[in-house]
Amino acid sequence: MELNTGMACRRLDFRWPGRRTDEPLVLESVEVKFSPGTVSLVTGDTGSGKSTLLHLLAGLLRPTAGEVWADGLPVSRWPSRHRDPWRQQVGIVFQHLALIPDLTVGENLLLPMIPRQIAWSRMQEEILRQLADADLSALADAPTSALSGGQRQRLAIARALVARPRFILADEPTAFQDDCHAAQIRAQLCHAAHEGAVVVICSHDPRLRASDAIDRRYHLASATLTESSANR
Amino acid sequence: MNPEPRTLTMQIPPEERNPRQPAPCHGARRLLMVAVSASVLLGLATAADLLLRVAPQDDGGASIWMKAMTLSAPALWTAGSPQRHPETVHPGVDLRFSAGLMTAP
Amino acid sequence: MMPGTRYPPMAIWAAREIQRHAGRSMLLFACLASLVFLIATALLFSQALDATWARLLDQAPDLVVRRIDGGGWAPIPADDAVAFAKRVPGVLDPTPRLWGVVPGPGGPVTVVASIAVVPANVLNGIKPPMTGQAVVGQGVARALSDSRLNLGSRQSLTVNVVDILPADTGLATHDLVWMTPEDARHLLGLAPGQASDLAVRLFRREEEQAIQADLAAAFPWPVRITERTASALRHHTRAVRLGGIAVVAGIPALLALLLIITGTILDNTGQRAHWGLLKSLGWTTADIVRLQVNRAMIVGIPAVMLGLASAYAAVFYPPAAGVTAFWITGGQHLAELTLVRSGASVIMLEIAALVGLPFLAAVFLTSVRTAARSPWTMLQADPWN
Repeated sequence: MELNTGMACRRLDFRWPGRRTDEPLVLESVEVKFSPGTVSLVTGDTGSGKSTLLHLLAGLLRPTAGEVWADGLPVSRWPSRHRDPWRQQVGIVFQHLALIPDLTVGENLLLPMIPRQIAWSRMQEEILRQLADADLSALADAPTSALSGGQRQRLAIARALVARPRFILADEPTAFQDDCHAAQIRAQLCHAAHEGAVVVICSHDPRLRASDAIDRRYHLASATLTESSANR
Repeated sequence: MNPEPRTLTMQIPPEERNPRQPAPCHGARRLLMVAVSASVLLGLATAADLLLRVAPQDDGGASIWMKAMTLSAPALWTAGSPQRHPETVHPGVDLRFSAGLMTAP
Repeated sequence: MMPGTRYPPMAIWAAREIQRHAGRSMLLFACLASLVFLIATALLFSQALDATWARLLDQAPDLVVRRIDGGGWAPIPADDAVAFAKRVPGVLDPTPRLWGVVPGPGGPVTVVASIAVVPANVLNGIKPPMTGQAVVGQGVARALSDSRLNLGSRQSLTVNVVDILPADTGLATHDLVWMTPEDARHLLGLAPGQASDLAVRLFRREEEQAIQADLAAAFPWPVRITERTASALRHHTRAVRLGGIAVVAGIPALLALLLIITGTILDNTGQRAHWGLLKSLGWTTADIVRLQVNRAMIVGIPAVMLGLASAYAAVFYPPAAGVTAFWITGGQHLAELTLVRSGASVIMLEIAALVGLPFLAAVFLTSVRTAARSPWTMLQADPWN
């Protein structure tokens, strides 16, 4: 397998730590490559392990067996002191969004940029750009707790994109969106992919499954990930 | 027509060109400024006072009176106590077993 | 100009975190500042007291010679004693003293009489007492109902108080009753030409011990000689003991520091989920530790500086210093204390280190321990899960 660019899983197994070895694996022998410049969609039933796969790709979890490679580097094998800084190349959208409610919208976007040694003025410019893309410019000073569900989701996506990461991992990014905003999010993710990012989306959303913006589709079932060529 | 405005724009720092900050953290910056300036001010004030008090301090003339009256000890204990008048301590045998009672009058 | 560019973003964010937990940060600030204030005040006060006593004792005679007999001390013939003392090489300025302790209206007082003329710069407008008159210290004056002062000893004497010694000389004159030599001799039962003892200054102070044998041998009667350094040492010991007691009394304050540290630890544990989120957003363990240390410093440094500056002012600035002296000594009013620059600086640095370093170490160690965990484990503690 070509492992030079993009993100890849190699014979990836995952079982929750502390579970018995005779219990079934959450992910078994996952073999996949997500290339830069493409938008990949992973579908599957609830509880099939889509979020777990994203967390493994983001370096938040360690595989039970196998490896995650990023740009030709075996990041899943790395100790924390190397994996933590690598995570700056990842932008993740959690299913539960994980926004900080007492911070303003702008401050939530500032959060991933603080440790990145970027000038303050450039941080502000990036945040302005992301707010405009997410249709949240008027709400920069509003506390996050005052936003609607859809606005919060767009903010979570903006937070994942604001530092221009190399790998974008989004869990149900359009779940609370109307058609217009769902299309806007698709466009944002496509734009990131066209700029060279690896975009992996896990979703149930039929609008995403039907979208032309998706370059590759995968289905996760019975702990196994298979590529599906059809649009539906 | 006139290229000057473009030249001017190039000279303005990016912060001023785009004064709107989506996450200004004004309060945090003020807090930081107060913390830094208060620490520096307090430190400098204390250090300056320490350094400027070079001359021996006036102790209110107490030492002049000590000398004028050839007093043996300051008036920190009541008259008649051995601390106030150390010369009146009786030249008796040192009672070693009375450890801890040596300050009793 | 955007002021944010003056500070590193990490420091700004640390300040933002303090704002997010304003109540807890204020409590931490108040605890640290008061802890530093309490310990520093006690130690600076004892050190300043030590320096002040040393400064006063520096004016005391190097040696005091008292004549003794089988019943205790005996009066000394003034002129003879001066002549005998002058024979000893290294002895300067032997001065016969007329003094004694007699019962006064409010308790025992120290009666003094100056055989020599008191210089005008010392008197500073105070008239020396004439026969039947006395100049008294603040402590004696407070016990008077009118200007008549009745003193009783072997002989009783009533004198008219004509002046009061200034309050700022209280460290030396608080219980003094200054009268003429004739009145003092009458009151103390001394014959004319007799003195209570002989005060001696030495050419070389370091000969204090060595000269005592020569001095004792120079007198035809048995004498007892007391030295200034013994008295100075007693005062020093007392000041050090006062400081020691203050430090022991500071144990509850140190326990409070322990509570602060524990609070900080609990705070960090409570923030585990938040830190897990930060790690998932690209923060490293070092970044989180740097944020926490920044946060601790933004609260801790001003708190320590405020505590130290307040303690310094409370000990060395007259209005506050009076209150502090009243508080620490249990009611005494002291004049301005002497500042020893090096001693005070060392004490302040020591206290800053004593409080600041354990606090920073606690923040650092607990942050490292918590932040080094796997981000997934930390995220599990979050409210969204």
